[in-house]
Order: sequence, then C-alpha cells, then structure tokens
Amino acid sequence: MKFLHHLIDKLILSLIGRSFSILSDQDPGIKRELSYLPEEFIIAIAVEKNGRYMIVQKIEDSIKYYGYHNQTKNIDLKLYFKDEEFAYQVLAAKEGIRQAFSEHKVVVEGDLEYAVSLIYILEIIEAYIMSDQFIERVLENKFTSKISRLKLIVKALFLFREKGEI
Amino acid sequence: MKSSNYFEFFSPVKINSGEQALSTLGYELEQLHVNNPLILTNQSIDELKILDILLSNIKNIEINERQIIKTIPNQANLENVKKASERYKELNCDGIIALGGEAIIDTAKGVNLIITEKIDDLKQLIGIETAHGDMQPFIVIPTTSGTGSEAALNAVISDRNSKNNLEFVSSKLMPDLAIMDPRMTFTLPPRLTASTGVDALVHAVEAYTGLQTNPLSDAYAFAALKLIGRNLEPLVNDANNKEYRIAMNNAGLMAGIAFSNSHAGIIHAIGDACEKISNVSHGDVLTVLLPHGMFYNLKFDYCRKSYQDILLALEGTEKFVDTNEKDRALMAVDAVVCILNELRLLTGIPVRLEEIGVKRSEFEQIIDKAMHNSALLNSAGQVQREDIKNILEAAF
Repeated sequence: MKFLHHLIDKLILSLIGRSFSILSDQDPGIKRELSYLPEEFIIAIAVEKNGRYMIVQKIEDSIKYYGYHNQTKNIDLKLYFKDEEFAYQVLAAKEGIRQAFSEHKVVVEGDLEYAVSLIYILEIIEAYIMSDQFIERVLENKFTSKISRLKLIVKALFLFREKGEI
Repeated sequence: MKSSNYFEFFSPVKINSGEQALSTLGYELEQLHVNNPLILTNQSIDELKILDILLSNIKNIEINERQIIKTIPNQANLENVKKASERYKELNCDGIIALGGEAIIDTAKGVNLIITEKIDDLKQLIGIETAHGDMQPFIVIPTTSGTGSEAALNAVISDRNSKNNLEFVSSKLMPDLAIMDPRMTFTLPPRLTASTGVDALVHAVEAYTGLQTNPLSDAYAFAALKLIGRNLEPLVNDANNKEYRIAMNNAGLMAGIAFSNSHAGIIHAIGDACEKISNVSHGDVLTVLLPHGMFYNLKFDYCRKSYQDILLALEGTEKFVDTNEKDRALMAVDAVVCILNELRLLTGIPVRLEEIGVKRSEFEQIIDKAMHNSALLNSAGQVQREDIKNILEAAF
C-alpha cells in the first residue's frame, strides 16, 4: 500500500507541476498569484524532506517545469510534507492543502507570503485536475474552469520538461 | 467545512508566574547550567528600574555591563540580531535572557537561531520548522502582557534593506522558561493595559475559531477568556492592582499558548496588513477589527458553536443559560463589544480605522497584504478579497 501511495504522490505531483506550467498562461487566479512572486523565482515541492523535489520556475510571468531533481540549492521556496502519508492525503484529494498547512503537516523554507501564494495556486490547480466532489468539499470558493480537465491532462502529459541547470 | 481530525500541540515552556516569581531566577539559571547569560533589553526598561529588579535576582553570578544590551529597538531587525549574536560569541555566553516586550523577545529568538544553527545570515532560516539544532538556554521575562510572545513559536524580524518582515516559525523558538512577575508589568499605563488585554482577547478568540482549533488549545483559550472577562476591565480601572495584573499576565500567556498552536485568523491577518501598510499600532488595529472579524465568522456553523463557549467564558453561566441557544453566538460578539465599549470609556481605545490613521486609499494594498498572510489560511471559510474589503469598510 505504501508503494502505491508513493507512486500516486509522484504522479500527481508531476501532474501538478506540468499543469502549473500550462495554467500559468490561462487561469486569472494563477496569473494574479504569479504576479506576486519575484521574477526567476524557483519553487521546489516534495512529498517528504529527503525525497526528490519537483521544481518549477517563474520566468516572464510564466512557469517552466523542470521535473524532479535531487539537488535543491538556489531554491527560493521549498515546500514539503512532514511525512509522505500526509502528502498522500493532499495529492489523492482526501484533504485540501490549506487544511494540511493549518494542521502543521507542511514544512516551508522561504518567505511565508510567497508560500501563501503557492498554496492558493496549488488549490486552483487541484480544482482543475481533481473531481467535482473534491472542489465542492474542499474548495468553497467559486471556481471557473478555463480549460477542460481532459484537455489539461492531455496537454500536461505531452509537456516537455525544461533541460539544464536550475 | 470539515473541522480538523488531526492536530499538533506543543508547549514545553516552564512557567513561573505570580508574586515574587523573579526570585526563582537564580535557581532556574543554575538548573539550566547558565553561568554567563546575555541580557537583551531596552533603555526605558532600564530607566524604569525594571532591569535593576532583574539583576538583584541574579545571585551567585556576576554580570558585567557588556553582557547587557540595552539598545533593542521597538521592532526586531536583522542588524540588532547580528550585533547581539556577535556579542554572545565574543563573551562566550551560555544562555539568553530577554527582558521586555515582543521586539526584545523576537530579537532574542533570532540570536538563539544564529548561535544554534551556526549561521551568519538569519535569512537562511525564514519559514516553518527550519531550525534543527539544540537551542541555547533561553529565558523570557515579559514586561508587557498580551502578546503571548513568551509562549509563541514564531518571531518576526524586519530586514531594513528589503523593508520586509521576515517570519520564522519553529517549535525550537520557544523559551525554556517564562517568568511572569507582576513587578515587571506594573508600569503599564491603563491605555496600554487595555490595548494589550484586547490583544490577548483576540488571540483567544481566534485560537478558538481557526481551522486548527483542538481540545488542548481550546482549554487554554477558554481559560484565558474567563480571566479576561473577569479581570481586564477591573485592571484598567486599577492598573496597580496586583491580583488583576497577575490574572491578565496569565491570560495573555494562555491565549499565547492557544494561538501559537492553533494559529491566528482573519482578524490578525487584516490587522498585520494595516500595521505594515498604514503604520498603525498592533493593539489599536486589533481593537477596531475584533468585533467586525467576529461578526464575519458568524456565518460559519463551527464558529457559531465556538462563540457559544466564548459567551460562557466571558459572561458566566447565568447569562449563558438565560440566552436562547440560537442567540448565544451573536451575544458572544455583543459581550466582546461591551468589553471594548467599557474600555473606550475608560481609556479612549479606538473603534474606527479612520481614527487610528488607516486611509481608504490604502485598502487595496492592505487587502493584498492580508491575502498573503499565513494566518488567513487558517481562518474559517475561504476568505476572498471581497470579504476583507467588507470588513475594512465596516471598520472604517
């Protein structure tokens, strides 16, 4: 079961990173939060402290997806869960990221104002890729989709990750 | 909205509270194996002879002038943290004593981080749970009550270069010991006593209604509310009354433990934003926002349930029983408004944002700042920009 959860965590986190890149040009909520982050801002997210980090970077108001990396130097904002099972609760849409943050399940290295922006963005991305029941149960705010779930997932699957040094 | 089915609660601080509590300092220093402490304070505490009381209670240890830093400003900043850390290393100190209010306590927390983590730049540790070492012995002796800093796991330290407030949140920041001696807070005038009392009231109310509310922090918040309901107004009327002062010191401490574990909420988020954008006092802005924030929370089921307890704590059993169940939440807000009105009559605490210098033209900036305050994530519901605007307009 643990391996299955590990696999789901990894897949969903990757889907979130790829969707972040696609939605950064389309969703007004994500655009607004991105405008709050400094240019060339690098974000790393992992399911646990010593796991591999999914890395994205803001470049010219868009998001570049760099895939998973071990090295986590030069990161402006790092977010990981205290335990992989906590990550599973969020990534498998059993709990919202906001709730997990409030419950001290998330560790943040970096400016907390930017972390709040990231949490808003993750909520929006989850709203796009998770079920409608999840949106209703966890996300109370009004959500208007700018792209269909299927279209987003297909686009995300074919998104190339950026190569080279971060 | 689902209430939490998981919580973390951490409160390892030893608390010596009450009359002559400071006389235990010598013993406690010995217990903590501190022979060469660095004392952080400020000039006014020295002028008020509060520092003398502290020094007279440090027995068997010789304290030289260089071990006392009296230049900590009203806002903790990186430069002062760095200077104090250098002094700590230079004098081979083995413990920190913070004598003062929130800024001094936060500076001491910053020093402890730099020394323990052996770093030069404190900015490396911004965030949540970024410290991992065994901290230096750390004693806090607050000279104001209400902030709860003596039991809080966070520190806010400003970076003058970037003009940003850096936030550090870690269970490692909590002191080993907090000494609450009424002699340390007697000098607070009625206006400041009212303001710090309301600060504690906000902490307790928000700890009770956040997403991370839990039975342990609720117990602390409830006890704090009871003490505030019974002692705040009498203390403002009689600022030198030892009994009321001790009760309010304890209330501030317990509210601090509660909100440190279950976070603040929308009132703090907007209050902090007003402080940063409009440069208004923390106590004043929270005083103004408290009833409006509570009123906003009335639309959430679980907040209404929590507010019933707040009515019980503030007004007692008789009033609670006499009030119809469906009206209790609203009556809790009314009880808070009554406390604030009494305090306004006694000390002139503000009721409107305009009164304290917040401008309507600053609303957009305040909303931006409040939306990115981590306390907002813990608030009931999913707070939108419009909600904050409505609260600001109502409080203006």
